[in-house]
Parts: sequence; structure tokens; C-alpha cells
Amino acid sequence: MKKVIVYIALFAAICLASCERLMMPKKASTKRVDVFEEVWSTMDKGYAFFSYRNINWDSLHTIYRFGISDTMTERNLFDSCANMLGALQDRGITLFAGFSTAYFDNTYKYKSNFNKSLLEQKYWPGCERTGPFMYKVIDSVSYVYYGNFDDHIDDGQIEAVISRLKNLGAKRSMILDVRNSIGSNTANMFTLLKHLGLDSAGFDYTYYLYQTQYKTGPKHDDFTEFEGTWIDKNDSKKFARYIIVLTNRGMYGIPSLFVTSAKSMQTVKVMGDSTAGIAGLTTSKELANGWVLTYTSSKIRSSEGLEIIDGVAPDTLVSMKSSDESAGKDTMIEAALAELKIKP
Amino acid sequence: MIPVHTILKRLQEGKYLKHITLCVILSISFCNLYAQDVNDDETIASKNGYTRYLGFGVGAAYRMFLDPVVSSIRYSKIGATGSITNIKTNETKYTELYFQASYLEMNRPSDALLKAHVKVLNGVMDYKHLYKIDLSFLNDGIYDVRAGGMFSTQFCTKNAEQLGNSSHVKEYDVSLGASIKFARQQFTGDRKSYLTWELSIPFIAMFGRPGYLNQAGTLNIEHNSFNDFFAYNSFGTFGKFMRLNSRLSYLYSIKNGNKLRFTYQWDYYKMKNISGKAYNIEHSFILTYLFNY
Repeated sequence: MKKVIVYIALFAAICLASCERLMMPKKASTKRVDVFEEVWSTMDKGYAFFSYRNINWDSLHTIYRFGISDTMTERNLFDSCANMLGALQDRGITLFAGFSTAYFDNTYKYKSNFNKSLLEQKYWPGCERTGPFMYKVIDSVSYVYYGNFDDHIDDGQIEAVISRLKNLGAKRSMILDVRNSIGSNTANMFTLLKHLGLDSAGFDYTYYLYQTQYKTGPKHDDFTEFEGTWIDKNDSKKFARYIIVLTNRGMYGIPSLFVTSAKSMQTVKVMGDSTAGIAGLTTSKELANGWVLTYTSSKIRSSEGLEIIDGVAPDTLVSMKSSDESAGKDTMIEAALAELKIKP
Repeated sequence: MIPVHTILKRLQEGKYLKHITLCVILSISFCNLYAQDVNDDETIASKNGYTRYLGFGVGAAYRMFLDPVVSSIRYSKIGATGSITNIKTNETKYTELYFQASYLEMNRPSDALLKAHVKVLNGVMDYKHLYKIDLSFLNDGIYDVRAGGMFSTQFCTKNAEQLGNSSHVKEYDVSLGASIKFARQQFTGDRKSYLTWELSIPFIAMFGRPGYLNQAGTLNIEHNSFNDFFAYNSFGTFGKFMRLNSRLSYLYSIKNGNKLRFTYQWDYYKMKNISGKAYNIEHSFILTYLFNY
């Protein structure tokens, strides 16, 4: 009897040690048809803008499924999936397959409104740098360029920039140039926003920045209620009393969200062209064959409830003029300077 | 004679490091030589009659996971693991507080263009409280069976950088369950040793996994990455949370009451919430030195 119990215990121990095949699901299939189905169903359960895009996702499945077979090449499968995803016309969707990445881009349709060589030749010489900030004073107006929201910024750097600008003769106004900015770090965005707004108001205030809605389930309309994001009056040293933020179509994602947030502050005016917009934060999933599918899984809109997926409109629309560029002038900076120079 | 202040100065300059190291090694050797004169069964017991051990273990771990939030592919890797354990036992009672942690950079089979890895940090704390079961047909002094309860907590963080906003997966669980321990006493040469098998199964658990689609909370200005662990809590039993911990050990008595423990552990857990079912399995081989105190 004793031996039996020992054997049973040993048998159980050995079984438990090797039964992950029983305890875990089978490996996911990497057949072409199954990968296509995984792409379609991942989007079906996670993508947040089917109703906004007014697209019948089931119909797209029917259309594209016909062309899929297990004997097709990997490249052909990739192209078919990319075409299906492209129908959603969303810059937040990408399909990474190692040998290629599929994404939607329509910025070529719009004027860039950003001439980097002009800036480098005429406006940026003489700029000082602190962290990722590039800054100088032009006619008593502060000019600050910040081009990548992934570049870490902190309060100390910003305070150093503010002090230096003051020493260089800056008055109460500033041009914050974020044209063509990239990056996706929201912490940097919040740090920057804390240094905008009112400085010496004798009352408490709160800026309502934007609203967010998250997917909660696989149905196309499974969402949370919209949640607001606010920024309260804070002790952070402020850049200036009057701020003009320069924008263009080269800003997508968090830079665009920064613009809609800054726009909610009464001390900030947005000038230039519309941004490229932001749909929401993305979710990524690795498929059974190792490809990575990224898609928008939450919705963001402005504090006033306006959709910003196709861009944040400026308060003052200004476009670069060829004649100005030929004369060595950046139309947007000149327009902002003209407006700020008359501020007290 | 060398003046004291000169010695202190040289110590500060690190000139006596070799001498100090030699003294430490000799001291340890002396202690071991002394220990060899102690009887095999002479373990130190507390005033209440408990034998206590503090153990430090190192070893290798082979981990595998399938997490729908990260990938449809299983990730696996061999890495290092370490454990600290405190055991308190007497004729009728056995308690063990066990900590184990492992850190692995896991990957999966893929071609060169699709290489990916996930950094996994895992920590476990198990507390077992067992009582001897009086089984008359086994009660000949060779077999020892103890059963009781287990309180367990564990956490796991996964960082799959290739997944952008949804790269961080954080999960934890706090569970209550049952545990049983079979031990067979035997002799290896003139040394007493034990072959033990422990099986632990939680019945109920509070656990947290990412919410639907693991959407980043970074749009919230008050977002705190530590709070991600507790953002989506669930309470459940086998359907939602299941863990099996099987530990096969060989306990070898060395001199002066200390012991060496060779352990093979198989730890499996599954969590299910709205983000899907996540599976984790870890095989560990650990060598533990148990100090009797």
C-alpha cells in the first residue's frame, strides 16, 4: 500500500510537470486564411471608428476573403490585408510584417506649411538649446521650437528656458512652434501644458482639455462614457501671457492632442493650418505569424465635443506664401510676430 | 608595530583587502571544520521546540506564456531565478514563507525580420501552514504527510516594446487555497535525507489583468503605472483563476543541522477576464541552502 501511494505521488508529480500541452491551447494556425481571419476579427473586436467611418466591415470581409487562399504568397496576403485596412482611411492603423509596413497617409494632399531649410537659414541661427527646446527672442517676442514629444522635458528645463528668454529681453508674448512635431509621449505633453495658461490669476481655474472614450467589449458600440481630462491651476512657471501656437498638417497623434488641449486655454491662440488629427490611442496585437497589427481603440474629441480625428482647426488660418518664402520669410512666424508685437 | 591611524588609512585605501578576504575565508573554513564535529541530528530548536531554517536558493527557470493581450504566439525562455524561504517545523506543524523571483527576456520562434522579445519580471510569495495527518498505515516514521492552507500573492509584469501603447501588461493575484506535502525519509550514506512532493492549489483569488485591449491609461493626467495593476480587479475561482504548484524536492542534511534542498518546481496559472485567457508556466530548478537557526 505504501509503495502504491509513493508511485501515485510520483506519477502525479511527473504528469503535472509535463502537461502544459493539456493546460494551454494549441498553437494558433499560421495558414494564410487563418491569418487573414485574425486580422479581420482583431479589427472587428477592437477598432473604435467603424460607425464614424460609416464602413460595413462585414462587407469588406466578404470582398477580400474571396482573394485569400492558403497557397497564396505571404506578400500577396500582406497586400490584401493592407488594402482591406486601407479602406478605413485611418492613420492610426498599421500592419507591420517585417519585410514591409502598411499604413494610410494622405498628408501629400495638403500643403506642408513648413520649410525647414528656411527656418535653418533665417530663423534658427542664434537659437539657444535647453534639452529639446530651441529658442531665441525676435523683436521682444519669445520663439520656442519643440519638435518631438518623445524627447523628455521637465519643469527644470522649461524654467531655465523661461529665465533665459527673460534675460534676452522677451516681453509677455511667445510663439510656440510645434509644426511637424512627432512623438507619442503624453507625459511630455502634460508637462508642457502646465507651463501654459494663466500665471497670476487671483482665482482658481481648471482647463478642460479633451474627452476620451474607451472600448469595453467586442461589439462596435461597446464604449465607456466620455471621460474628461482637466488641468488645474498650478504653481508651474508660465512661458508667457500671450502665446501663439504654430501648427500644420504634419502633426498627427499626440502633437495634435497637444494643440486641441492648448486651444482650450484663453491665453493660447492657434495659428497656421489644421493638424492631421488624432483618433485616439492605439492598441497593438501580435498575430499568429508574427505580424503586428496596430489600430485605434479609443476615441478622443475636443473639450467642446468636436471630433478631431481629421484635424484640429486653427483659430487663425495662415498658409505659407511662396512669395514670402522666396523673400526669406516664414509667413506663419511673421503673422504671429505681427500679432504679438502689438500686445502690451 | 604599525600605528593605528596608519592601519586605518591603509584600510581606506583598500590595501588590506587581500588580508581581510583571506581571514574571512579561513573563518568560514574553521566554522565548517568545527561543524563537522557536530552530530548529524543535532539541529538547533527554538524554545517552543520548532526547528527553523532560513534558505537562500538560486537556479534556472524555464518560463512559457501565452497572453492574448500580447500575442497569439507562445513566448518562452530559460533564465535565472532566486528564492528566499523561511521554514518552521515541529512534529505536528509545518509553516513555510517562500519568495521567488525571476527575470527573463523571452522570445519566440520567428524569422530575422520579425524578431521580438518580451521582458518578464515575476515575483511570488507563498505562505503554507500545514498540519500532520495521522495516517496509521503510513505512520512508521518514514512517511510524513501534512496538509493545510496556503496564502499566496504573485505579480508579473510583461514589457513587449514592439507593441507601442499597449506594450505593458501587468497582472497580480492574491489567493487562498489548500496545500499538501508528502515526505519520505531515507538515508543517503549515513546522512538523513527527505524526498518531498508538495502540491498547492488555490481555491479563490482576487486578481488583476489589463482591461479590454489593454488600452493605455496615459491620456489621463493622473495616470500612475503602479495603479495599472489594480485597474481591473476580478474575484473568482477555478473558472477565472487557476493555479497549480507542484514542487518535488530532495532535502539533504549536512553538518550542524543545515540542509541542502534540490527542488524541481512546476508552477502553472491561468487568468481569465475580458481581455482573454492568459496562461503562464514556469519550470524551476533551484538549489537552496537552508541555515538552521
